[in-house]
Amino acid sequence: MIHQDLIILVMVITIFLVRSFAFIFTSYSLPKVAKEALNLLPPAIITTILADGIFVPSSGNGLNLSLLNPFLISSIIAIIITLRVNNLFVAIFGSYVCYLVLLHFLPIK
Amino acid sequence: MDPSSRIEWALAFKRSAPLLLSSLPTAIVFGALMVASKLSALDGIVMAGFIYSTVAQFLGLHFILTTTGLAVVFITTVMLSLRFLLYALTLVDEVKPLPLAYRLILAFSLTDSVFILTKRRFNEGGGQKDKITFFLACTCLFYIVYLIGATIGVLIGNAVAQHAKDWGLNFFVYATFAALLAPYLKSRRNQIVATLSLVLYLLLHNILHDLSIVISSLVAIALLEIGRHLLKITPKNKGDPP
Repeated sequence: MIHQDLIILVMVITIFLVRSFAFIFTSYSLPKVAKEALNLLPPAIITTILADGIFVPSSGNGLNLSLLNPFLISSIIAIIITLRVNNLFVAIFGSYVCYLVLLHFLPIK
Repeated sequence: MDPSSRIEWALAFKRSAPLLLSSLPTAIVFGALMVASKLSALDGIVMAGFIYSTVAQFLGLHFILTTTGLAVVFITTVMLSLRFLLYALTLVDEVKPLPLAYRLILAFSLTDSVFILTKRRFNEGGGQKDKITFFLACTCLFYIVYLIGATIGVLIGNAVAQHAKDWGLNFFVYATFAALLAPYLKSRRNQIVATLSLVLYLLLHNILHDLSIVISSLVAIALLEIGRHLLKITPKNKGDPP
């Protein structure tokens, strides 16, 4: 019981400190070059987070690079739907439906 | 509430709505999984409310179930949260004038979705005060929905946890990310950085594991910017979706 509470406490404090670090020491600013570069952060990091979800199998080791991955196909569908319809609701739920369909025909990752 | 604040709240609600709806299943699944793993409903809500990061929460559950040592918990949590530090660094100029307590609240709420929505808002026209209101609105909306989801999850418990994989509820997070990525891919610059990130991630994952998310992104950005300076190309916009 105690150890469990300690784990939660460590995680809560750590995450909070890491998150708020930059907002606490606001007098230290990044150089202009870095700030401009960080405009590229959203597309870069969403891609890697997405890749992490798609290519890392449940067992956690190595990468599943199979193209018949329902996650992969459905995520691509989500991107295509968004580009054509520009409606997040339709994209998310449309690709979710595709995912459900594919899940029944393709092996689960 | 003054009219411009009301406008920002309405805008935040409108833009957040699809993302809120898709964060709900994830929050519910977490709550359900906690209860299904024989942890208490209170633990579930505390973790959701104070850790407030689905990835970290699921990992936390794993740590608890495997009684992982605190040093490993600490190091892994730092690695997982690095991207939040990056998000904050990107927005630090916008929040500088605010009081510390306000800054801490905003920092705590910087999840992926809140960051993306807020970053886009700060790059648009309009008064700074309005944009901060937007940030605060997103903060409140996402947090409330997330807590509601976690509460529903611990209440529904076992039933959901067993079916989560069958119903593909875990896909919602990634559907959201894919839908958020799409508009960025209209610009050549973003296409290049996304491709670079992906390639680097695939190359580095087996070596860097959890760190590969942040490192691949940063290296991709650095490569692109260095290339751009070497070739003396000026970006047309701030890299936002057109």
